[in-house]
Formats: sequence, structure tokens, C-alpha cells
Amino acid sequence: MVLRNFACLGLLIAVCCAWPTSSAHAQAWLSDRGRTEGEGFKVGNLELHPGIGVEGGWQNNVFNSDPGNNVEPSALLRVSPHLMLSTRRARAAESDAGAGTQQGGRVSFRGGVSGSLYHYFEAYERTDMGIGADMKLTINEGKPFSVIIDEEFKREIRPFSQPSFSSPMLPAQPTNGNAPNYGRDQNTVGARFQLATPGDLLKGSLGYSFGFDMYEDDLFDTNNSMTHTVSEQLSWTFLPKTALFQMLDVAFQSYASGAGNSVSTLNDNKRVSTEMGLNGALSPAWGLTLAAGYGAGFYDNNVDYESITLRTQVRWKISEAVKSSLGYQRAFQSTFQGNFARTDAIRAEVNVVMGGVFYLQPSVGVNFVDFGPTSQDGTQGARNDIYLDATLSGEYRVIDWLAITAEVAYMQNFSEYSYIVQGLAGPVADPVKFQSVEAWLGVRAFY
Amino acid sequence: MVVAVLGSMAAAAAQEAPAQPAEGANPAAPPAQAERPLTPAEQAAGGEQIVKQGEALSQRVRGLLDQARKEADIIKVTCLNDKLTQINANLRTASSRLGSMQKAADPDLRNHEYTVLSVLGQKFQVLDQEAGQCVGQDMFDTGATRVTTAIDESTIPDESPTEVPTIMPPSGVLLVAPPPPASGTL
Repeated sequence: MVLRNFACLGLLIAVCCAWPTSSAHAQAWLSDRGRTEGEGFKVGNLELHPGIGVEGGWQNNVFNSDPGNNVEPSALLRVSPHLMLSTRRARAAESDAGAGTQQGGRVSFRGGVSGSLYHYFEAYERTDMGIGADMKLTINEGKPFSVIIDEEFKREIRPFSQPSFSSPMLPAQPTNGNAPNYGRDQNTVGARFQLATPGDLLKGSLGYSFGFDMYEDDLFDTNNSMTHTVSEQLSWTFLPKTALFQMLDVAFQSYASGAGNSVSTLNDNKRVSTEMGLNGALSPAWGLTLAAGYGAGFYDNNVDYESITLRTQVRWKISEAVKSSLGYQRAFQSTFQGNFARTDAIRAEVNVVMGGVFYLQPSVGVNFVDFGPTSQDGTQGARNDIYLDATLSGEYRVIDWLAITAEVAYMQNFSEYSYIVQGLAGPVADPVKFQSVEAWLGVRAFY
Repeated sequence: MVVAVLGSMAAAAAQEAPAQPAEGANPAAPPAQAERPLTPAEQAAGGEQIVKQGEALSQRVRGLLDQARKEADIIKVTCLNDKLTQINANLRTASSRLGSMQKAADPDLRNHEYTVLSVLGQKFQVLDQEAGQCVGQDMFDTGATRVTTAIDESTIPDESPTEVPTIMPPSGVLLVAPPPPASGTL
């Protein structure tokens, strides 16, 4: 038992040593694979790691409505099962990569599937289940030539706009008294061919991926799109654990239909982005990412963008148990309005392990999102959103496979922009600003 | 010039001086030399014994060298080859000195040649020991140089240099959401 607790502590520390990663999952533990995996079941060359989390929560603004327009609060229940599996070779390769002793292998596989069943007790939103699934197959891992095939699927179900029946000014939508189906299915599958010198010091890859973004409800299906992406990556790794990298992406995005049911027009586009920089450690305690690049997007309506992009992050390991990071990134992304948006994101995060059993991760960010010229697509004025978000998530490991989890999240959009939609008595302004608070408390088990 | 001549003499003296006390330990040297001068016949017998000792040693080391070559043990071959070269060179000198001693009519010259033969006999002893060490060389040899780097893992930074972080909102934060439908009366 002592050994198991020690292993638990080691795992927790290892988990917290990892720098934060983003993911489509709402739960903090699902965004970090290391936290979903315990001892696991060994089946031949495979390791299986099942788990489940049950949480109760509350959200003050289910539909991200603006403050003056029927904000709907609700208590929530969230049940989140997951199953992760991997070949032992893949696990060993990850460990070896961290220690710089990576060995070659023939095939390694990592995959997983998770679900998040949401039940809203008080709002009109239906009970639904979000899904996340991913897999990565590496052929000839650690060898000079390797092939990587990966796929990621996610189904998001949480509301992103206000249903019309919650506003007396808007006409009813054909949703049988329920909120619309906010289901959004995204899938990306791709293959990458990689050449590397022994030890992966010099590495280059060329890949292709295909992705689709589909909305399940007819109300939103004009936003459906497909994207073909060709990507190239180069990196040169040197001591202490640092790399110079270069990336190039060329993406071709096409929407399923024209303006249709959307308040804005959507334009097929071709986007190019390239970036060069340095990433990794400056010393055992300090890490740095410093990169600059160029991005351009060419849209069918000739409303294009081109600009430099920036990315920087400073990471400080204050102690083995406390790590922090502060970063800034300027990037462009295609949007459903104004063709594109330039995002300036500033984010600070801290990871703390206390007593080997308590994990705490506060995070705060400010995001300036400047949309392309919205007047070009018939909507009103310039749209400049400012998002403030703050999250505090924690976990207490009762035993090595059972944890109590808690999370509080706040988000506010300070935008002054309003959509103009057709109301019962003529055009109606639908402000995009909102304020949302949610809190969760639960328990999770994993093995 | 004077200094050079004096230096040479001093060196020769130094070379010959240790040979005298060591003669008693040399089995090839005639016994009881310290007690009385050796007769010419005794010196001739002693000199021949030293040369025979050198020939026997040369033959034995050559056999060891052949064996090492069959075993393709390059370390032994190199070592034994070096010892055999020295043994043969000293053997040639010993044979030459033995001939000079046997022909010498002058007692001083004969004594000198015999002293040189005694020194060569000691060198054969030393080379015999060294050749033996060649055969057991692998016990002491460390092999080819191999550099092993030990890294203190506590100082390894927690970084994945090829995984570039994304400075974007955490999970669940959707910055660019689709707009609402244009009309509910579809």
C-alpha cells in the first residue's frame, strides 16, 4: 500500500510536471492524458485505462445570453466515462523521449475515447452527450523514417447561442419547445511522413490532413465546412532540451453552402501560415517559447488578411511542486463572420501539488478577438470582442485510483457588438456580450 | 667536446655499474663471481648459457605470437610482437658479444664482454616476464575506450522541445462561436 501511494504521488507529480495543454474536453483531467491513466489492465501488448467521473454543478448562463435577455441558470449533472488504450511500446517511447533515450520500434499505438453526458435540471437545454476520441498510430517509431497516422474526433454539445424561444422578441424556432441541437461534430484525420536523425535531433515531416466541421441541427448547418491541410515541420533539438522549429501549413476550406440560414456570409478560402522559433528549456527551471511567423488568408469575396503572427511563453518551475507559465500569442483563424478573426491571447497558469495528493491549477486569460470587416457580409459595424476567462480547478487524491474534483470557471465577453436578427416586430439587436459562471464538484475513479 | 666525452664515460659507467651487484641474482651468470675472478672457460660457458637462454626465449615467444595470431587477438599479437623484436635484437647482440669474448685475448676486454652479456641476460629475464604479461594482458586491459554519459535526472528540464505550446483559452472556451440563425421562421 505504501508503494502504491508512492506510485500515486509519483504519478501526480509527473502529471503536474507536464505543461498545460489545451483540449476540446471541458474537464481538466480529460485534457491531460497522464491524469486519466492509472495502473491499467495489461492485455497482451496493450494497456487499457478505464475511468469515470461524476460531477454536480451549476451554471448561471446556460446559453451565454446577454445580461438583458433572459439569462437561464441551471443545475447540471455531468457523467464522464473514458477508456484509454495504448501499446506498451508507445508508453515506453514517451518515457524514453523524456529521458532522451528513445528506442526504435515497429509500431506503436495510442488511442482513447471519452464521453461527457450533460443533464440540465432547469434550463430548456436537452440532455446530451459530448464525445471525444483520438488515436495515433506510429509505424517505425524512433527510426530514421517513420509514418504517423492520427485522427481526432469530437462532438461538442454545449450551447453557444441563445435559443429564440427564450426571448419574447424572437419568433419560435422549429425545435418542439426545446433548445436547438447544439451538436457539433469535428473530425480530423491525417498522415505524416517523418525523417529524423538518430535521437530525433534533426527531424522533418510532411503531412496531409482532412477535417470536417458539421453541425447536427439544420439551424446551424450552413456553417458546415471541410478543410484540406498540407503541413510541413522541421525541428533541430539541442541541449539542454531546446529546439529550433519551423512550421508551414496550407489549408483549403470550403463551406457546405452559401449564406443560407446564417446572418453572415461564409466564403471558401485558402490560408497559409508559417512560423519559426525556439522552444524548450533555457535551464532546468526556465523554459521559453519564442516564435514569429506570417499568416495570410485569401477568401472568395476578396476580403483577405495578411499579417505577422507571434507566439511567446515563459515557463518557470518555481519548485518541483510549483510551475507557472505566462504567454502571448497572436494568431488568425477562420470565423463564421467577417471571414477571419485576429486573436491576441494572453494567458497565465500555475500548477501546484501540495502534499503529494492535492493538485491545484489556476488559470487566467485575456483574449482580444478582432473580426474581419463584418460590413462586407451584411452585418453591422466592426466587431471587437474582449474575453476574460479565469479557471480554478483542483483535485484531491483520496487513494491512488480515486479523486475528488472541483472546478470554478468564469468567463465574460465585453463586446459591444450585436447581431441583427429578424424579430417578431422587425429587426432585433442580439448583443454578443455575456457573462458566465459555472462551478463543479465531483468524484472520479480511474485505473 | 670535453663535456660530451665526460658525459659518455659517465653514462657508460652508470650502465655497467649496476650490473655488478646484480650478477649474483642472475642464474645465467657464473656463481661465486664476487668471491673470485672467473676463468675464461667459465666466462665462455656462462656466455653461451645466456645466448641459449635468449634463443629459447625467442622461440617460446614466437610460439605464443603464432597462437595469438590464430586467436586473432590483436592486443596479444601487438604486445608479443614488440617483445619478440626486443628479444631478437638483444639475442643478436648477445651472439655478437659472445663471439667477441671468445676471440678476445685481452683479459680486460673479455671481462668487459662478459659483463655486457650478463646485462643482456638480465634483459632476457625482464622480457620473459613482460612476454608473460602479454599473454595475460586481457586481464588488465580496459578494452576500447567507451564514453558513458550519466545525466542527473533531477536537472533535466520538464520540456518537450518539439511540442510548441498553444497560448489559447483552456478547454471549453469557444472564442469564435457560430452566429445565431437569421430567422426562426425557416
